[in-house]
Amino acid sequence: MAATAALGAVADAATKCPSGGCQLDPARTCLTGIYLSQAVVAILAVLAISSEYGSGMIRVTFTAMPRRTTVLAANAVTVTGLALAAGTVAVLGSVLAGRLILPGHGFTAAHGYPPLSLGDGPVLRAAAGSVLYLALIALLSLGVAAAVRDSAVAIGIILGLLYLIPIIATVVGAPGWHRHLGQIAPMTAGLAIQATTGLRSLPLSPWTGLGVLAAWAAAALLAGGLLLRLRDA
Amino acid sequence: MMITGGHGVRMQYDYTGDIAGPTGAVSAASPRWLRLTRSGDTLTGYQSADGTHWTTVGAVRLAGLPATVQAGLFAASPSSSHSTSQSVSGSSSAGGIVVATAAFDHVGLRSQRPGGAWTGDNVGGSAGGAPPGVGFRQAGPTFTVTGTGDIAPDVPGAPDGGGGTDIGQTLLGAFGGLIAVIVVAAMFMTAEYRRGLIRVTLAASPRRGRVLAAKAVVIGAVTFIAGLIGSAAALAIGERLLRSNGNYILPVSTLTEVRVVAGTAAVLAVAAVLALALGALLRSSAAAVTVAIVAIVLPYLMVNALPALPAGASDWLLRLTPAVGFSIQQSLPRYPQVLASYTPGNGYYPLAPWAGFAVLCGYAVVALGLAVIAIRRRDA
Repeated sequence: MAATAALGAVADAATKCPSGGCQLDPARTCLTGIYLSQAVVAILAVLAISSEYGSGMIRVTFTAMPRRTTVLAANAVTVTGLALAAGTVAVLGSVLAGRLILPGHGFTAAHGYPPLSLGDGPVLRAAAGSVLYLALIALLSLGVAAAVRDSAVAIGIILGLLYLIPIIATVVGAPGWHRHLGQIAPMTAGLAIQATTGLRSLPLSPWTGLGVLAAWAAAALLAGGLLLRLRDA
Repeated sequence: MMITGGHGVRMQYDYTGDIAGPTGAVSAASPRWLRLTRSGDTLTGYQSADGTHWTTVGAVRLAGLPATVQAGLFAASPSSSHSTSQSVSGSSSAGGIVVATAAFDHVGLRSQRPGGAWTGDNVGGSAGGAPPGVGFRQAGPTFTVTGTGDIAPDVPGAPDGGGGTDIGQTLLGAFGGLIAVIVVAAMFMTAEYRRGLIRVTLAASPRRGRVLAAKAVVIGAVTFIAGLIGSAAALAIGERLLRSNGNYILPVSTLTEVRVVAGTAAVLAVAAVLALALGALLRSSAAAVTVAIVAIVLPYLMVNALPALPAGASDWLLRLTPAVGFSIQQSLPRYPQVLASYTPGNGYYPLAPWAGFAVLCGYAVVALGLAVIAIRRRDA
């Protein structure tokens, strides 16, 4: 949480909006820390399942609770709750840091940037959406961890899914393909929720983007749940 | 020889060379005289404020210059470029053609083979034709030349660039390999902790530092060989694919190509050692894998694919993190006289290739040292 707000504050402090105006999105800038905190959320969600596999404790759990999907559902509720709680604190800290720091860097009313306020519809959407984003990352991670069981492989798959697709997209020259990659990649689509300016140039509208991430999370949970039922523990 | 708007008198040669002359603005009230002489293969540029007192700007030797060459007056200006929007799917930049006009008088040519009348030519113009106004006009002794574009080496990301790509583009798949390598290398250590096998290992080989060093050597060597095969194949296949799609790959020397391929394998090997050390330090595979990926992949992603940070901040973010190891993939030089976005996405890094690789090695050495200390002090 602290790292999220701190990274956001560093991004705030490093960003300058010159007097000629700029095209930067202040809400997105102060929420930069989400790039980092999603990795932390992913670890917690993965460990919720795979630490039990690692220690063999999962057999005890499944003996005590033979309905395995219920175990997964209970885990899902726990990690979602944790991600929502931690995400709320982190996002509020980031927005507060942005509110304090950004006006000193040219993001002033004179340049068309009122101070960041959660009373402002798009800013509220960005902040609340970022919290939901972290919760969906937790569910995606839980589903992947349930499917592959090993924590290192699970975290590799999740971070690969999140970080690799945008890197690969940078060399995709054809604008149509580039846009499609932005629409299906879980991170780029999900983080569309943070946009408060330039919505028209986005490959997806903010809520549709979060919906794409939700579809990824649902698919991962479904795969994880099915494998959990079909496989030996 | 040229007079620039903000960089004084310059002598540029062979597309890539750039020699600075005296600075100072030039206006109609204080004009500048320029002279270029040839003697054999050597060209010497002079400049003067009054046409009588000349100073030498530079002398360059152009090997193999033909006996008869064309000489002329030119006016040009590189296109402007600025970033207009930065979004999560990338940044887009806009700019436009900039047209420069220069008035020349006292134009003279002294040669053993006298030339004919001056003729105008749009050198290297695009297929769409020259923008309006480009050309030259002669009114008595005064020539007015209007032109656009840049006389410069092709640089990826330059507004007037020829659209060439660098060979590093073919090796972007290394990031996928990197994540796999990190997972395997971290588990190489943490799997033993999880199964409790580490106690057997350390009982059989009580010198714990040596156990860690042996593991580091094995994972590093195996990764290097696999990485070498993978990146050599990726470069060969990638170049062929790029060419078959009509892309121009900017040429580099064989030595540079070897450095890029072997360097990519070395980056993977050092990252494997770093992940192994993190695994020994943290004893949790999920934590070790995450720390390694966040340290190496995330900074690259943040400065390149999602340019949420301004240029200065992203340069420092790269310099300070192990991600800068990928600067070993930089194959093209920077040209201070060419306006371009010198970003990792275009194959340019804020540190020199070997310096960036050294930063990554430094992180790996420090992590391995800490891991040796921790594994000696801790109970297994």
